[in-house]
Amino acid sequence: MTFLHLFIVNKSGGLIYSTSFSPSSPPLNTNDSLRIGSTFHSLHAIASQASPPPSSSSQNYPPESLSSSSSDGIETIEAGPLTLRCLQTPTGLKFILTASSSSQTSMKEALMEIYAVYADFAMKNPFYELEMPVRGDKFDRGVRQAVMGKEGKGGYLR
Amino acid sequence: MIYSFYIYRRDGVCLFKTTYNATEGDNGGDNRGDNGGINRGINGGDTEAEDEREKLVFGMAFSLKELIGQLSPMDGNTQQQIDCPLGTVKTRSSTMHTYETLTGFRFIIYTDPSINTMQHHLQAIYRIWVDKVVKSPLVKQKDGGYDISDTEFEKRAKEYLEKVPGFRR
Repeated sequence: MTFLHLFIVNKSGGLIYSTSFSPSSPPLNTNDSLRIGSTFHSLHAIASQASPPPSSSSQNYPPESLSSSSSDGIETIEAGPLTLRCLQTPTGLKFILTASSSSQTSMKEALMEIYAVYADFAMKNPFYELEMPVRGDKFDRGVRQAVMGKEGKGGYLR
Repeated sequence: MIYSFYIYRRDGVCLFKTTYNATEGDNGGDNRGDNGGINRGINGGDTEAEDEREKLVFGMAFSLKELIGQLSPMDGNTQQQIDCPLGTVKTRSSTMHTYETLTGFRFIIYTDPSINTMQHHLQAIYRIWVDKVVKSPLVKQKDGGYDISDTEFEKRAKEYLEKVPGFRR
């Protein structure tokens, strides 16, 4: 299992962070990354529109439907060996992680950990401006650590 | 549970669409699943919304394919990107299963999120399509699409899908 890319997209669809993890990640320049970030952002919104109207039986769960309308978008995409997983936070931020031949659980864990790293090293940074690109060595290192740990674990399990 | 089923031609023309397991309260009437397919735009208040949805579904499948194409991993030996055919797209309320044939036809099924893979079912339906539509002399060209109302395709596809585990809840 290899993690390929991480993109962080703010609530208006702007890319605020992107990185690649492996030599098998396809090379992307800044423009490509920006475009991928905003394309995914819109597809995420379209996905909730395009999905069929829930049958009346499933509308009987108010706790879910209350929170769903805004956060009901793409969660995972499986395309042969490639897996993409998206974590949308309640504030509208999206963490998008891609991996090849990966297990969903380790990707989910990695995303949660990256979210924690973001909270620690971006949000708690007094010089960080909201919705702006994230920079910082500690953040970079934190992200790498979160991902490397999961990669090893996945490899061991396989 | 299977919600709906679409077939698109390469250029995005919807050749076939039907919904299954529609609940009685839905605008389309409770018989949509039985006759809602071929006659696109049958009566029912939500036709416009359905047409819109039909376009959204194709647009999404099309753009996701592009996106996936950019993100697919490199092969270590050839330094070429590995081909990654779009399989499933999961949201919290539904899962979209897609299968694209070499000729560019897209077979798309929406199910609830509990169904993990439909790939072989989609391929089986493609075989039904080849047998009953591609090889059929009864198919007529109509409005830029095909009129397949004279073929057995819809019946066979429905029979097949009803046997799929999880067709109904």
